Amino acid sequence: MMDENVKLTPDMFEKLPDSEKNNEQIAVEAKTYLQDAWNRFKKNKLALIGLVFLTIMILYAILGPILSQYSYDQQNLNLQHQLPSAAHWFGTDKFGRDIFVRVAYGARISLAIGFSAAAINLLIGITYGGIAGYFGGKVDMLMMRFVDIIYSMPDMLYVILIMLILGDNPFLAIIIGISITAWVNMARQVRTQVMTLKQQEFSLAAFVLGASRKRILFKHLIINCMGPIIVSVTLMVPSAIFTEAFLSFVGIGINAPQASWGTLANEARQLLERYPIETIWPLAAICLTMLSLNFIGDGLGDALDPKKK
Amino acid sequence: MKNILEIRNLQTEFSTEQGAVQAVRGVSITLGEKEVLGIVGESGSGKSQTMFSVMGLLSANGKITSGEILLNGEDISPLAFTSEKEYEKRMEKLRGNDMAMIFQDPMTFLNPVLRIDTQLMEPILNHTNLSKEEARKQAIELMRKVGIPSPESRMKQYPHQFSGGMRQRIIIAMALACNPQVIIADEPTTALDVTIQAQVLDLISNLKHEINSSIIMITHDLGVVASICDRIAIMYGGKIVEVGTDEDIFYDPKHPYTIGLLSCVHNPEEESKELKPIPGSPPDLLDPPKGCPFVDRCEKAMKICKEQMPSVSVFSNTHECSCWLHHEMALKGGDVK
Amino acid sequence: MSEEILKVEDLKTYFDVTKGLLSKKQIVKAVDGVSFTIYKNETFGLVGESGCGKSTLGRTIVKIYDPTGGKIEYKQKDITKIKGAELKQFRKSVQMIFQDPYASLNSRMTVGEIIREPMEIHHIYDTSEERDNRVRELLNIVGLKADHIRRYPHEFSGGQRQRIGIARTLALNPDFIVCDEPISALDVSIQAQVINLLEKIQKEMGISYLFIAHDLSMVKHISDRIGVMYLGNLVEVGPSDDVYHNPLHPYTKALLSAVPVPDPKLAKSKKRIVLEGELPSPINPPSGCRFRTRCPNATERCAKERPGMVQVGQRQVACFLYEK
Repeated sequence: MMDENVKLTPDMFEKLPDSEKNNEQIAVEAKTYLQDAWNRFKKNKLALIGLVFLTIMILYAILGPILSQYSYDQQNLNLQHQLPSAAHWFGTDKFGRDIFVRVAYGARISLAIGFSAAAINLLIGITYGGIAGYFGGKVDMLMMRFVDIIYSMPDMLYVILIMLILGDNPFLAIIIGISITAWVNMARQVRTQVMTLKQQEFSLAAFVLGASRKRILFKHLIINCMGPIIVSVTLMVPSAIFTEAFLSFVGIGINAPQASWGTLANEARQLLERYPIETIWPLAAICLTMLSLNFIGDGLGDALDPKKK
Repeated sequence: MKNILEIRNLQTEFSTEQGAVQAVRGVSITLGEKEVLGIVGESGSGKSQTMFSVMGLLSANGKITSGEILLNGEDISPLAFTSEKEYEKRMEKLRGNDMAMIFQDPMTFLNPVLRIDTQLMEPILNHTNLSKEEARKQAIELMRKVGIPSPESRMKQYPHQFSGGMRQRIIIAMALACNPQVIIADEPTTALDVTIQAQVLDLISNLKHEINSSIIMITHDLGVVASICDRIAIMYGGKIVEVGTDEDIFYDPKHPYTIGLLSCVHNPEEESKELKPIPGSPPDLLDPPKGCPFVDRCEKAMKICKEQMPSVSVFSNTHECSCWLHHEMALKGGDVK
Repeated sequence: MSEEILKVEDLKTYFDVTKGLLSKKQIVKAVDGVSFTIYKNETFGLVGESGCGKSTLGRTIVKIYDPTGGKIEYKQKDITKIKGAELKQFRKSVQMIFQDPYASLNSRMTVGEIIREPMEIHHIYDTSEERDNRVRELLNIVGLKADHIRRYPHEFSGGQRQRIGIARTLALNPDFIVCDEPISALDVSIQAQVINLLEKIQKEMGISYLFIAHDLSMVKHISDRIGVMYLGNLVEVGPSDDVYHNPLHPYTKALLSAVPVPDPKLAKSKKRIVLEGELPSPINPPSGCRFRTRCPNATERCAKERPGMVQVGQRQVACFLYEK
């Protein structure tokens, strides 16, 4: 409303020069997509806590065994089943090995399995799903029927079979075993996304401009479904860690004296009644890591969704 | 003429991540009995949000921050109620019964899994004491009124079995169900094809003489308002910049924005003229301009326009406009035609 | 008239919409036997309601869809079946402006990357500086600022985005542009900006347009000649003033009378020809003349035969009423 106190003077009624009009000006400062996403991610406190915890876990996995005076297989039969102390932060196990180092070492294997399985899935899933979705028609039909076949068999069966074949390298076997089925979900997801996106005008525009199929697929389509893909990759890491833990727990995973979180939990389980505290460390590591990855996935889902602007 | 609806200095805000978007910035307007009022504006001008504020249909992050909304003298803005619950209770009574709304996309309003008869009888049963049989009769009558052929059999169909134009007719029938005092139509023909739009506009202008409701028509299409509205309000940047009868606005526009708007539509009945576009884009309501919202796009902008909101100049008892160009000091300068 | 740039003969584009393997075959005849010619430096307006096949026709011409039948000639050369290098050359010369300014720009690319892309695809200029300079020049032509180059599309308004899209097509210096409802998603005051821009670049660069729209008043303003489509067929073609002031085909008459005029006295007194019923499905269109089911002048003959184009003055009409 008009401010009565201001006195109107004739010079106020002179023409406003064009230079003082801000046409076509964008008020908001330029932000890249990632900056924008990070700002939204930061707002989700749980996701942020998850990210901090995961960082700590990774640092622990890398630095724990290096900084500690003990090694993961160093036995000390005089110090069996110690409770946590200044010398052994998490206590010791039945052979007197330091649990702090063993959990850190387990973290190396578990996280490595989790992240490599996710990376392989990402690579195969995107390529396979992208091609099926982009070409459509008969190519898509054949490719997706193959996916259906893989999908129709219980995945544990593959994992166990491959474990048996590649028995002497359980680490590799587990990664391959998990990857061979898990990419299927990723491929399906990418395919659906690509199919919707390729009908959109921006990809038609690239097509009319004469862009090659490869360019359209990777520069226009896949990059636009990166948001949901990254989210499902984040959620795939815990599922791979869990599968490994399960396999090791039932005894067909990583061999002693190497340790993953699953084997640690399995070893501790056998003496659960007498030394319950020894089970807590690997279980806590599994639970907290899975939880943080799930929180991160959730946060990324919101942050990378362009509709949440 | 009696005023059915009176909005006084309404302000509505939306909280977003970037800050508060001031969508409606002090809108005052009246709606007379049996009147068809057109509210014209571009996207983001606040025209729909003004009416959503009236209907209590703002999205969760939207809030009326000040102003009054008087329906027959009763203030129905949420600010006038002691609690959210009280307000909702009152609005539930009013919506459908005293005020009805017609949306742009009929499918957002129709439930796809319910038959048309169920959906059409619901407001009648809710707001009147009629029996189910009587309600059905009335529903059939309504469908006939809005020009749906063989209503008895089509009553039993589902929304997806109707075309876009027919669905919009059903929505109109639902709005008419309880003889509301006010019908608010939000771009009712925008999603329709020209020939179907013509059918619906014909229907509305015929109904206008038959029913007792006042209609508010929100639209961006000047052709549509010219066809059916008695009075027109032009909105820009969350404010009403000019109000007048249809003839005031089309034959004697006063605000540079109205003038600009009229010169960028092409009247096919006339010889081709050069279109005079309005340069630039509408203001960002996250950080609305201190003075006139149109200043940056206005050919005739003066220094004062950037600093202060213009006061209202009255030209006749129907025609008002907020623009500094019509201030006596600007007129003295002789810069205005 | 000047040289022809595009000639379409009996063009047909059908889509197979059969659902499932064992269902009955269902074909949508989106474009069903359309012929017309566009001349150099001309704007040919194509109007019709949704579902009439106008967008499909536009997309067939720029070779997004393959035609089911008929022939497209561009600069006197049959381009119906070209491939490879020839097709790439064609793409450089024939461009498209899309309807939805929000969907037609890749939201993960900056404005600079978007406008640079066509130059990268066709290897125009050797260095990225040259390309960037050209991007700035193009931004200037469409009325945006050079420093917008690093911005992302979501920071712009609808009208600005549409201008970015126009700058992208201009990067290739095309001779012919299909404008697929370029203004229907924009606000009134912005529509005129885009129309004027299109007219300006046509004058400066000598581009021919196929301008597809459902807003008849704007089409009349920009077009030299107009074609009216109904259910996959072209029903009337002629100079835009003639078509508007003296429509011949019963459908054109109804369509034009339905346009709301921005003039209250005229609009309120205007007699609209209100068409009965709805648009029939293109899966199973009416026999003979497609419009006969809603036509006030329909006769028995209209159901049996399909009317051919009749020349009336400078105009062509597909209706038996004008046969001599």
